[in-house]
Amino acid sequence: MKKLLSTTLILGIVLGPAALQALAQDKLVVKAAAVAGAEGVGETAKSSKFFEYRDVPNGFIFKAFDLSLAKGNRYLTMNASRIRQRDARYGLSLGDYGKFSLDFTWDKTPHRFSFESATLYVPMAAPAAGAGVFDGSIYYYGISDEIQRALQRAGNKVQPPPDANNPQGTYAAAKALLSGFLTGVHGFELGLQRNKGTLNLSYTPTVPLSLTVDISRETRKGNRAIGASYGLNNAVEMPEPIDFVTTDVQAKVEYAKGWGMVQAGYNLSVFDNEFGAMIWDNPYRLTDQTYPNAYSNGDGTSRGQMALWPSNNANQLFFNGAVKVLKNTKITGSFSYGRFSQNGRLLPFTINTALANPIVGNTFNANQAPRATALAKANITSFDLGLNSRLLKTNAFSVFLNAGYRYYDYGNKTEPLDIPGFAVADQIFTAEAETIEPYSFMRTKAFADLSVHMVENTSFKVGYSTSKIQRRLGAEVEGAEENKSHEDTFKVSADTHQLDWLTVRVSYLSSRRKWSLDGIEVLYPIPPDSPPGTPQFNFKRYYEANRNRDAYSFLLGFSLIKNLDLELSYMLGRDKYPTTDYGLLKDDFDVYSADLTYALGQASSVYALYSHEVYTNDQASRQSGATISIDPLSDWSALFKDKGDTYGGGFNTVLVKNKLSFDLSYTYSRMKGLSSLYSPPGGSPDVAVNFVHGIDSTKLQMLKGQLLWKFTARLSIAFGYWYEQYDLDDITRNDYKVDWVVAGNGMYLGALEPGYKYHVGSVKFIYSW
Amino acid sequence: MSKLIRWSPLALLALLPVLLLAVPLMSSSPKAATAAQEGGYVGMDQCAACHEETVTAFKETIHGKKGFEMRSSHACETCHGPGKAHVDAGGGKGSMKNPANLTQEEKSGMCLTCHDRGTKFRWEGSAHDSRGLACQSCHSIHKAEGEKAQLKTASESELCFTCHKQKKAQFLRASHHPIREGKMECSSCHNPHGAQGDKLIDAATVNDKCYECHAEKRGPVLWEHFPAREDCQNCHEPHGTNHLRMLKAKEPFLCQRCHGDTRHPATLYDQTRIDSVNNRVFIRSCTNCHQQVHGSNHPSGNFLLR
Repeated sequence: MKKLLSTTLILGIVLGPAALQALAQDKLVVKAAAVAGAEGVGETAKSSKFFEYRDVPNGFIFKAFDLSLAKGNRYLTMNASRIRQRDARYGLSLGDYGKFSLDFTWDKTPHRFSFESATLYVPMAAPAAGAGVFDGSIYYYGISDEIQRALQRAGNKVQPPPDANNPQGTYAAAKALLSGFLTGVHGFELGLQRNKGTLNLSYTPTVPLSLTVDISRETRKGNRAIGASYGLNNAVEMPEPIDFVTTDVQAKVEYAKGWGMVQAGYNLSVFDNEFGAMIWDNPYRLTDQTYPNAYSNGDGTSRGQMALWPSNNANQLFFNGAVKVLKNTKITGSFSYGRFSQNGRLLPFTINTALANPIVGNTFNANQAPRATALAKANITSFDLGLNSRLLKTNAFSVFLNAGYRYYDYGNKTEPLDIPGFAVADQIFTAEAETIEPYSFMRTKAFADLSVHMVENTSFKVGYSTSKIQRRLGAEVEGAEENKSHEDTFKVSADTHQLDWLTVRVSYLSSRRKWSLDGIEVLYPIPPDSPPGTPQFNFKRYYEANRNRDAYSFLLGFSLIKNLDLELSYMLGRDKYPTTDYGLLKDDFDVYSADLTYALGQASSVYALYSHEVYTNDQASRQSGATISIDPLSDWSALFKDKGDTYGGGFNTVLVKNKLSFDLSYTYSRMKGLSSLYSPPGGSPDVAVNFVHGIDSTKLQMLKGQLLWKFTARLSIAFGYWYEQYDLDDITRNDYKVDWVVAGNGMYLGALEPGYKYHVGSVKFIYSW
Repeated sequence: MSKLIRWSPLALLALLPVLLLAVPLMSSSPKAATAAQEGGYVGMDQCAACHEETVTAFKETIHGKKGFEMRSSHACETCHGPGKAHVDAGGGKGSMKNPANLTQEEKSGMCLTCHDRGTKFRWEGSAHDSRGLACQSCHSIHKAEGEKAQLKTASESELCFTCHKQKKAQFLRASHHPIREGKMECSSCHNPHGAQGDKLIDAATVNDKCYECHAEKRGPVLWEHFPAREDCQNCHEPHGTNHLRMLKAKEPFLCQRCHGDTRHPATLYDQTRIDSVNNRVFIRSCTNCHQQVHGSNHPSGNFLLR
């Protein structure tokens, strides 16, 4: 913030006198407006959800201030909104129209997750780098040693067998003890603050040539919930420390004439994370140990250590161009080459000192990093070429061809890393050697559309495209089957507004995607000792599997009576995975909507809207134990249906011309998540037990009204009322508690996001001059 | 590198006075503002004689500013054509170009004489153009409601929602990008004038656009989560959903669309798991443990646990 303020100051000192001098030479036009007043907020239940991305203060508000100085083509404007609030926005612009412009903005956005979080953890001084501890910047959440000692004693699964001074405990006893400690958790606000300053300079020294420089710097600070478990049974939810800075710089030059245009530029983006790792205490252990499997509760390491988002940067050179090769034919193209780089310090395999030498007969030390840094980078090459041409023009219609080709290659050049094994949640070490290989992919798309534009506001379009994605893990291996998905798409649309009172828009899309490894690769092979003839478990991943997609949309607009407009629309999409027996099988949507607007004379209008949405998806799988099950009685399927209804309406009118106006709007939106689970009896699961009610449903109502009284030519007073209600019914979030230790092996943040009802009344004075 | 980045804004600012001083030296003389009688043009003052209110309002817009003269000296007649015949006829319809009566190509062509550069050079053949929309479908020279870009509505999203009904409803969902709070607009991600990416995404791919605000996920990292690296929309619906973090479906079922492994990934999580407060269903579900779902930079991060 200080840097940005000093930047603003420098701007003002350097440019202000020049601007003011220029302005002073001619007649100055000054315009300004200020909006201030008071707001009263009544809440039934305080909820972060109402304040998720905004501030709604109770008391004095300084809503907006705008100042504009102009003379001819030179201007200086300042605007501020939601002043001194955490969602404030400030802007400063100055320039000379057609010559240069300089814009500066400072935009603040909160993101609040919960007002009701609580945790047993407290931030503590990071442990010194050492065995197992990351040698970079660490954020450490600790629990007092006394609590850890007490819980370790209560639940001790000590190896070797216990003695009188170190008695065997039980996990149940430890859980009950922890549950008691959780009554003393301290509360905190879970949320982030995102502040972004941007500076845009655009300069046109002569008409064909323009230069632009865009600079932005964003800070994001706070915390958000993150899972941080011990083993595969102990769920812990932590507040992830967020302290990010993202700086972007773009410089671009453009030259444009009648024949076309060329642009060249450079992008640089640098992301910095203050913290490279988070360490947090295991409440059940004060000292480290390990044990045979990662499912053992309340056991193992005394601390966990996870890698946080690594700092990274991106560079890109780009070129864009457009050339009119013939009077009605234009070729456009883009090319960019860039690199994503990330070379953060690597963490050790584990912080658990009991796993220091996990492989018998091998001096490998799991408390050390496999190499100093990540050496991660990816080269990004992107290219596209387009052709647009009017092939034919008659008195009645014109025919256009639009065709092109796109190419995008994500070439991951991260140095492969050989590892002798890995730690599982800092609890055990699995000695399975492997090589961490980089993942790359390449996309291409070729397309061609023919459009016919009739003279009287009617167009038809038919198009075809073929796209492909090719995936590669590690280096290319000659002769190996490639992992590719290839999709052919056909589209047709018609739009007409031939009659003044009728608008029609229809479109249809059909695509067929084929996966190169369909029928070749088996994700989860059945055990080799399965009886002959046992079918493979045909599970496919939907993002690469064969898919048939069909989508339609219809929109009809009527103006049958003067000033009355009615729009009806229907959209549907059907995704099916024809060769998939397990995984996502279908994904459909249907959306109906109706909108009505009516102008009641010159001064009033009313509108109403309704939409109904249905999202349906169907998936299947098979429950297995330690090996893939071959028993179809262990199959299960799940059908989900999200149904949404949105109603709304509004009314605005001038009650007294140039004096008094009123507007009112209301929106109601309900989304209900339903499910139907099935499993044939006799297997495992035996019979699926359906959820007793909808799995997640929300309702949102908003009512806003304002009476605007133009008291004088300069002063208006707005009396406003805003009502908002939100209800959430989610089977996995409704009873969100800090302490679920005894019931469900989970210690969470209790970050409730309850439903709310808020009434906000306001009086605002709007003064302009 | 970070020091360079820290100082580069100030370094660029230091160049500004130099650039500004260079303006008078480099800029070409603006074309004469006086009305030209050649070619049947009569000048804006003549237009104001009958259309005073319209011309006065026009002068307040960006097109009415003097900078427009760098492109054309004909003001109103740049778009409406020469006005002499209209003046000689004493006004009335039919004697001057009326954009409302032009074909879609002609309407857009008027604007493209100047606005075929910058972010608009892909307009011809773009999704909106090929569906019969012209510039005037969204923008208004004389009756703009919006503060920016001369839009026909007060806000950008209000304009887009007139056709994109489904998106309007989606932004009312519990988990959404802050469009209705005024912190983002449709153009934060899309370029309605034509773009390199599908669905008018103003970047080469969806992920490249997402990384502009979510740079922490750019990586690359040691252990990639392949569908996340390929396309954020494999799991997320960026316009809004009922589920946490704009996910397309509720966990664990979303994850189970791809993970049918042995043991807990393929377990059916039904009402019995709710009754037993199973930590693979509640709160963050799979990501209670597998929190590094966008990829991990930890040497032991192969199961995205660390």
